[in-house]
Amino acid sequence: MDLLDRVIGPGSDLLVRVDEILSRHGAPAAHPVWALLHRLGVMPSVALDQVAGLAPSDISAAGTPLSGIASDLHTAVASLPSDVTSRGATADGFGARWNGLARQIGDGADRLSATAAAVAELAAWAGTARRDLAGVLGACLGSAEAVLVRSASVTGDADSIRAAADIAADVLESLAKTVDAGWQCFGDWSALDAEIPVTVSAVDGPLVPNHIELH
Amino acid sequence: MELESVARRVDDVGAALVDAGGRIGACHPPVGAGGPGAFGEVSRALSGQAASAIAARAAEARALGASATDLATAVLQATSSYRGTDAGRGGA
Repeated sequence: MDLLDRVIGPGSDLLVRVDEILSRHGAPAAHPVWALLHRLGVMPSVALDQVAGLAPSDISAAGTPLSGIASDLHTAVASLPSDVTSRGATADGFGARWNGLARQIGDGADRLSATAAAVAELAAWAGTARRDLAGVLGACLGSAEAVLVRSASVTGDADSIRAAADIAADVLESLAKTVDAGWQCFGDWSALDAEIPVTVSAVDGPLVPNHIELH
Repeated sequence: MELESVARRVDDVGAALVDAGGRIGACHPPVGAGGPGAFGEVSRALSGQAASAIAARAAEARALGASATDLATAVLQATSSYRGTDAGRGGA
C-alpha cells in the first residue's frame, strides 16, 4: 500500500464534490483550471482514477524476466569457444558464421537489456505519478479550500467555487506532469520497437566443400 | 574444442533462444487502462510501444535461435557425411 492508496478514499470524495461544483457553476474566468481542463480532457475525479489505475509493481514484475533472459543469453554465448580445434572448410565456414551469429545474439541481448530498462523506467514513471498525486491530494485534503468545498451549498458561492477550481487545478497540474513525463518515456522507447532481422544465415554458401580430395 | 562438440553446444544455444523468445513474448507490462483525455492517450501509446518492443525482442530471439539451430544442423550433417566418406574409404 502506497501513499495514494491511503488518501484515495477521502480524496475521491473530495474530488467528486469538486467535479459537481465545477460542472454546476463553472470556474472563475481566467482561472488556470480552464486551460488544464481543456488540455487534459478530464475532470479531477477521473484524473485520480486514471493515476490510481497505474500499478508500478506490476509493471516492474512484468519486466524482471527480461533482464534475466538477457543475462542468460550473454552467458550462453560467452560459454562457447570462439575457435575450434578442427580444421578444414567446414570448420572455417562454421567459425565465420558462428562469430557473426554470436555477435548478433550479443546485440540482441543488449537490446533486450535496453527493453528491460525501458520497462523499469515505465514502472518508475507510474510510481512517480502516484506519489506526486498523493502529495497534492494530501495537501488538498487538509486545506481551507477543502473545508469550503465540503460545506458548499447547492446554489454555490464565489468562495467555494474558487476553492473547487483551486483544488481541481492542483490535481490536474499533477496529471499534466505525468502526461508530459509519459511522452518523454514514449520517446525513449522509440529506438526499441523495431525488429532487427538476422543477417547471417547458416545456409549462405556451402559448409561442405564442393569436392573432397581423396588420398 | 572439436567442431562437433561446439556444434552441439550451438544447437543448445539455439534451443535456449527459441525458448527465450516464448518467455519474452509472455511479458506484458500493464501501463494503465487508457480511458479518456490526454492521460488515456499517453498510456495507450506507451502500452502499444512496450508491446511492440517486447514482441520485436521475442521475434529476434526466435529468429536467432532458428539460425543457430540451422547452423549446428548443417555442421553436424557435414561432419556426419565426412565420417560416412571415411568409413566408405576404410571399407574399400
